Amino acid sequence: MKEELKKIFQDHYSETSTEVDAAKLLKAIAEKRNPKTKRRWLILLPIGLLLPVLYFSIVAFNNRVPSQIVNSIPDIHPHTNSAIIEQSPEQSKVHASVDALDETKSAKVIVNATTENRASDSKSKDLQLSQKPTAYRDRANSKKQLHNIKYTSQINVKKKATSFSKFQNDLLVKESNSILESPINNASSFLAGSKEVLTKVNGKVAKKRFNLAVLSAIENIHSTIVILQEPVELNLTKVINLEEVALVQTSKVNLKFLAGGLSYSSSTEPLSAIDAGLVEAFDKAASPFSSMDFSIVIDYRIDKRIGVSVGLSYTRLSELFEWKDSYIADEKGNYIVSNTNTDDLFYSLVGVSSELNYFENITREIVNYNHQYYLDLPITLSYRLIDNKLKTDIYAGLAINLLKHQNGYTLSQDLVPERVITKPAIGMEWQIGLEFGYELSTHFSALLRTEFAVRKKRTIYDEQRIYQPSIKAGLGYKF
Amino acid sequence: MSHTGLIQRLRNGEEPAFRELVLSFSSRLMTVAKIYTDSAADAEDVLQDAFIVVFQKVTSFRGDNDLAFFGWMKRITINLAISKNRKTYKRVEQSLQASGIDHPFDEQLIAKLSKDEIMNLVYNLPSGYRQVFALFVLEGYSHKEIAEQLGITSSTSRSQLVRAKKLLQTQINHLFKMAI
Repeated sequence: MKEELKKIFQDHYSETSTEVDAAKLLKAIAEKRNPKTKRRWLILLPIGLLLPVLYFSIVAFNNRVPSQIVNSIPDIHPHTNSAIIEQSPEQSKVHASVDALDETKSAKVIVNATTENRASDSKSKDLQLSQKPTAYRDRANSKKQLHNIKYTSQINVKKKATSFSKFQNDLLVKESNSILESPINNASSFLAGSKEVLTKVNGKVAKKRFNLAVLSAIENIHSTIVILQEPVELNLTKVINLEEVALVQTSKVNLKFLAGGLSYSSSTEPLSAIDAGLVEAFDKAASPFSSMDFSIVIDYRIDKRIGVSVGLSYTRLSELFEWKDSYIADEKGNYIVSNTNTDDLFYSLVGVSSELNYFENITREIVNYNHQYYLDLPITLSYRLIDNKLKTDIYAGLAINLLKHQNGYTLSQDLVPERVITKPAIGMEWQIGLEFGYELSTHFSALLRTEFAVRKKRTIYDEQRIYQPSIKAGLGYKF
Repeated sequence: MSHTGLIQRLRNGEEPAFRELVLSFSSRLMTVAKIYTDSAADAEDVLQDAFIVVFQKVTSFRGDNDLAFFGWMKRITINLAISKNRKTYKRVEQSLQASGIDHPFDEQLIAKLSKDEIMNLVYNLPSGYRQVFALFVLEGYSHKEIAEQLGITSSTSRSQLVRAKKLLQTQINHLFKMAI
């Protein structure tokens, strides 16, 4: 091609301007420089879920009954036996003997109680018993008018406590000389309920469901009749010394402390994936290294199988960043193009035209760590797969990033490492995992979690997905 | 209009200067981006990235005149465009056979064309032809340099240039026939 012709093209080329929508261009550039998360509803949704969880957690916490007070659960276990407790006031002990509950799901109650009433008063009160107990005056103390009254009554264990508050008021149990005592005033019926409690029987801790009933029939009775009904394993002839029975009221709220970490995203994309054709060049620049995680989780059991939890976790991901950078600079040292791909690229530079007679190959090495920091608010739903001493739950949920930022190096569009500190941003992530819990004691359990989380890592050009498997260990405390 | 002050303000990281940079150079750089990309969307994308890179690296720019500054920005734009289309070049290379026969251009006809008409002809060339043609004719690279930039052989570069010119000539002839 003749030089004149070339010049025609070159002149037209240099003089040509293409119309550009500057406002649109500026907006697009601004979005690339400061990308925004548009999925705000994804943030609002978990917040909306979080609020009722927090509400119920607080309610549950406030309504919890002190451990000294036996709690009731309105529903009765469908297949129960009954334990009948006989009290021997003279010995300041409460003994329990266990009797079978017949198929009608009613409990036969035999009560030995001491009253301070006169025999006549006692008798009059006896008549008020709605459950038709039969009172026997076995022995009378002439002065104190102490009567050992024996009741035999059928308690319909399906009967629910009239209300939690009423039951709680009626059953002001306190420990005194290892006796469960309760001043029972003017109630005139049996209150029944069931409760899953941790018991310590003969030094062994077990979690069993008990049905509880209180005889609140006679004024001034200084004893409480507690009927323990147990669905399984209760030896029908076994005598339980209540001194050894610690009725521990545990709430549905668990507090968990977890710490752990692992490597992550073994197949992660490089920090700055701007061009698929150059991915190979990036691969050696950054490699996943480790993750570190600390979590506090509040877990609320909705029922035996299902639970929800919220928490706060701090995660730091680290990656080793090794970069041997080589680039071409012009005669003034201006960066022209990166030369990190192959040696051939060194000569294939747009900026090194035949018109340029000077350029310089500049090489530098950078070895550093990148850190990504996350402060998350995870909200998960769990399902209990195994429910015995070793509990196994599967859980899944999302986490709101309260804070997410990076401190380290990234690769520029020209394959040059650049120091970058991204601004904290709010985001959304997902997690799924298995939790194993081993009960160490009534309140404490050892926890082990295997978790898989999908996170997002922001670079100056792109937001990349990170797959983060982790193992966490910790301690759980059940209130 | 000199942009020496603008360069200094960009070095200082002033955001208004960045806006001024975009307003001042976007039209000319868009022409460059359009030549080296296959679609308007790609051209816009490259242009956006180019401005971001310029803003980030302006502190390393040591020139002191507008020509050098624009040349520097142009080189960055072309680099980005070539990176974006690197796979395209390889595809083109596989489909081409070396020819080596130069095709004569009718200078008189070209001289009669307007600036926009000529540029539209260049824009409408197939991707591989267009980039070789632009690098050779508009940027002044040798076939060896072009081959190394695009990852093709020198003979392929030559053959693409020949075909580009042939196609251009055909289009120019067609244009004049239509006009008559």
